[in-house]
Amino acid sequence: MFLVKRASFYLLTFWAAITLNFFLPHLMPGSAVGAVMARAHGEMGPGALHALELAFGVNVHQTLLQQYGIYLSHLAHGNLGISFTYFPEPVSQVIASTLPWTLFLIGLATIISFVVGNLLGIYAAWRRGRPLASVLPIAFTVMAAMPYFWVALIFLYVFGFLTGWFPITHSIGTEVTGIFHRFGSIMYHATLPALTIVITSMGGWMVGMRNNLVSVLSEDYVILAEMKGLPEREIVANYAARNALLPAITGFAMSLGFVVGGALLTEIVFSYPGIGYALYQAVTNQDYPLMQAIFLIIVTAVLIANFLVDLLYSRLDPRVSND
Amino acid sequence: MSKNRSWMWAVPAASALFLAAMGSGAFAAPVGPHVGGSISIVASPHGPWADVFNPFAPGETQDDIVGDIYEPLVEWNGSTGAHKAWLAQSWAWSNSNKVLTLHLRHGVKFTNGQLFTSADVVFTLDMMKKYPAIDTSALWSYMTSVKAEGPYTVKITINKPDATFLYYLTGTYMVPASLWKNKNPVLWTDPNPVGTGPYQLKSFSPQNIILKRNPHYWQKGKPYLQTVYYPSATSNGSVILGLADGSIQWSSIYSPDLRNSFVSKDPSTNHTDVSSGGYDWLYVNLHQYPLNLLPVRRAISDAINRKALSVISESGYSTPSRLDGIDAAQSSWSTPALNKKAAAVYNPKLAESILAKAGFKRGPNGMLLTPKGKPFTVNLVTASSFTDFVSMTSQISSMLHAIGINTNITVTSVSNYSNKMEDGSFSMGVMWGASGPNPFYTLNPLMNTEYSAALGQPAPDNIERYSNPRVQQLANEYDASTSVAVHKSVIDQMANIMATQLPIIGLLNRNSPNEYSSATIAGWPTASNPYWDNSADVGPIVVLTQLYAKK
Amino acid sequence: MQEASVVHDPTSSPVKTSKPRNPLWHNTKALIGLGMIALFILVAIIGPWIERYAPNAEIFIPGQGPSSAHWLGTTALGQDVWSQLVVGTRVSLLVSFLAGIVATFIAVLVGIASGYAGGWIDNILSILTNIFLVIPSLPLVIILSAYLHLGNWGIIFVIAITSWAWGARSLRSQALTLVQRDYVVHAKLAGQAWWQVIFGEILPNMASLVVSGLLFAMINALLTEAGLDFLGLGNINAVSWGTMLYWAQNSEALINGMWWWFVPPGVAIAAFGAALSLLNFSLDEITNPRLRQRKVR
Repeated sequence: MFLVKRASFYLLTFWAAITLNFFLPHLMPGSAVGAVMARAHGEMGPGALHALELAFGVNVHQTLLQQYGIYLSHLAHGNLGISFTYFPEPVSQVIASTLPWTLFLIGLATIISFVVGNLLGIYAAWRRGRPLASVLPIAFTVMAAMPYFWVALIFLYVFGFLTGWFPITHSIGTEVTGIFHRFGSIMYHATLPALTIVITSMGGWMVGMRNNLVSVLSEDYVILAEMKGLPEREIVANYAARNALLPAITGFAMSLGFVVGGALLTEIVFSYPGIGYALYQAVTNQDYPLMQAIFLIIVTAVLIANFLVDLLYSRLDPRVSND
Repeated sequence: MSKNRSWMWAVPAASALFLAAMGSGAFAAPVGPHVGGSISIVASPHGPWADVFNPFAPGETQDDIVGDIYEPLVEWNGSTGAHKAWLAQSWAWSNSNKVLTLHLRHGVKFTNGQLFTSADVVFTLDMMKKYPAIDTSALWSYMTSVKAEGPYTVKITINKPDATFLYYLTGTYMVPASLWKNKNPVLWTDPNPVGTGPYQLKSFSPQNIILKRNPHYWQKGKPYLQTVYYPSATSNGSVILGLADGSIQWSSIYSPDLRNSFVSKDPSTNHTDVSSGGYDWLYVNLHQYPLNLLPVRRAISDAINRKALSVISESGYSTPSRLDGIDAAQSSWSTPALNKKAAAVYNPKLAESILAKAGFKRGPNGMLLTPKGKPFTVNLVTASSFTDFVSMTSQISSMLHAIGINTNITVTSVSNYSNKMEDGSFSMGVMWGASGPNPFYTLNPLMNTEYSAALGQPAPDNIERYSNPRVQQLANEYDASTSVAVHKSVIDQMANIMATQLPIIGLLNRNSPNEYSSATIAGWPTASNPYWDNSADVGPIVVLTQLYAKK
Repeated sequence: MQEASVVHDPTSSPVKTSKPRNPLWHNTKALIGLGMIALFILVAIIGPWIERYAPNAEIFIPGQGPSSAHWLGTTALGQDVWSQLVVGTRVSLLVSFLAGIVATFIAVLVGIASGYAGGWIDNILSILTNIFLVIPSLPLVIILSAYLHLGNWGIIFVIAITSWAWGARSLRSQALTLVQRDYVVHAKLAGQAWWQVIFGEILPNMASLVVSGLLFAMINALLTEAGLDFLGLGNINAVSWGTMLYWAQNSEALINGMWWWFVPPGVAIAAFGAALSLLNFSLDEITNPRLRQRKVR
């Protein structure tokens, strides 16, 4: 029942997103043709304006409702249209080539930040009172308040440009062959962008875990275990941390939305060829089909991630079924 | 042509090709031109590549690369309007300049081994008639027919004499009829391009497009470089970093202080120069009072410190322009009398006295009132993505403020800005203008009503909506003749109109920097041997076929 | 950072209405945070007196390093960096405060209405909250501001509209528990009007949660605005910390070694953000006594 409820909620959200997505572009001034012309800075010949309008199929006279219907039916068939920026490449193609990189980068960074953040949080709660345990949460909370892109730029400059330790662009080297070399190259290129995301997003996990664990540690059953003489390490690992992790898991999915936003800026700074950069390009080019599709993909991915977490959660905590 | 090269002008040198290669080769490198080596080029940052090599695609993402694979009939170059015969060896006008006969080069092959013939030219042009969406130069608004006469001759008929037609026609990329005949050229992505160019596609990835040498290229022995890399870049900043660390050898991006960020890293190998192309204009809406008054436009022009615009907004690359639309690189089209008349001055005092004479008075707050007694306020529009224009607009605003004109600035999106400008719903705004092999290509579109439109309708070039029947007469004179003397006289008269009537106000000669490294590669155009424009934009094959690895 | 407030279960921090002393003044972190915020507000207020030059005037020699004439040097466009930083403080603080306040206001409204009214109102508001919670906000804000090309007010509005859901959710669950407390039930039975109950009994007992939500929304607004400006989606002609970074990035300030242009606005954003989070952090400690207990093992 819990899952059915959640699923129907996600469907509702999905519908809200696609509808919003459809109406947004129609609210703005300007057109894609204008943007393409302007980007070419007068390099296009005298017939370009008319030719572009023909190519993009703009100026078609349909009512909004008709357009909405067409939009929905195209969507149902997986037809996301043709990108204006990358014309005549289908939008699905653009997404197919950029999405994997973003999933990889965000996945990597989120997992690292989740694991390390929670471990540090456990440490901070467990060793409360020690100088390091007091300083760590503060340090990372402060770091979480720094702008992603600024941290990214400083990293790019210091570790990429000044020292030359890491690549300053792309997600894989040129003409890399062999599975191990490719893997190595991909990890090498992902290091700085992932580090940026990890550093700026880790504080949340750490503080959350610390606060939860501190609460849990003063619960009766923990105190009972303590009184029974169980070793501290065991108490923290087997009882307290496990229970403190539950709320963190719901946070995991929620935080994805933020990480996606942060990754967008990070990708731009590191020239990382993911969906975030594509979105930025679509926005600056008024590339409606691409923009709509990317927004939709991001929402869909976040919804799916949420649903997966719900599945996991209902396993871990049987109580939610009664929610 | 889908990819206009109107801004690619540099000094022409018909025979310099050969000399250039020999000269710089013997001078700078121990090894002369030979096959081998590679180069990394980022013309400008486009973001990840799309798998699109269709030369007629309207986006500009793949422009730079497509021009290495597909070739035009003529390569255009040179500030004086010179050109280099390319796939067309020669051409001639007949029937009072209404029939153009093109003679094609023999022995040119597509990379699939097929011969390039007149059938391909006819096919390509016919395809543009069938699909107006790819006819971005509106060739078929001139053309009535195109016919092959034998395998190497093409006859094109146009409806009325037009001296600019050849230029627009010959930039068109030629595609093989056999592979394109069943394709819709508007929607075809052309992932495996087959052209006649010096390079062919080796591999594609969104981050890197790799081209390899075409071993059967019609210029025997060329190109020299075995491999050309086009890494994708997302920002000028990342390109500068790549140039500075040597991973990119050629680029044409704008960056404020290249001497510091690039050249100083190794002055012996890192070089910059500029490509010139047209003007940045201050467009003025001639349908708005009091901007429709000549003294007002004159005063505005005199109030603008072009030197400051150049240094602060364009880092000094673009230079102060004249008022008549004649580019610094095209000065041979001017006369001493015109030089004098068209010189822009910076004289705010003079500007104030012109306005005072025209009946503008200072109001109680010290700002000007129009002769009708209303506050004189001007709205400037600009696009946030064009940061140099934003900066110029902000400077112009304070310069106008200094002579008593109130200004508002609207910073908006690129598309909204260009729509406002084209539709005539603006007061003033900085924008580029048309340009071409000679000043006629600049002046005619900017002043001829043929390139104008009613307010609210998009105008292609004459967005200030200037109307002067004399301009049309002059344009007809120009088109009806092939004589340089006639052309010169028409240009002189048009430039006079521009300089004295100021339908729009010239600000800067638009120059854009190019960056290249001679660390591993030789054969570049240099100050002493400027055999071609050094821009990496839009298939720079004239230079690319000259470059070779130093070892 | 955003996760912290969600993970931290609001119902576990009961608020006592009577406090013997204000613990805020005895918490070093809170004092540092408050001090920094006060400093920024001071700079924003007295800005016109200490800005030295017109912030947008492109009138100096471009690209000079810090000197006595230009404390933080000049930009590549010949503007005085110090003056820009000072004026930028105003815009950035204004956006942060206003967007934060509006978002918190919506959150309080939705949260209390939901928790107090219950029933179908709660159902609808909860669904709405969850929708806004689950749709990633930065991409949405980017798209919105790209389409609508907003000025400062528009950006404040858009940021507020996309960031209230976090607060609303935690306030709702707090309200839900409060509604069942004896004194609230008692007040209701005593015939107090709904607004008396809400303003007299419920709201005061969620004060710390509201403040924490406000701080949070302010950090979010600060970073979002900086991100938008950095992408050139804000009003790039207005001087804010974010637009300073946009122009610095646009002119490749770091690559050209102009650290004095690029570093100060970033530090300012980070410092203001840090001040807000320090305050939030210590607020957490104060309202959640367990976090304060020193337990050295």
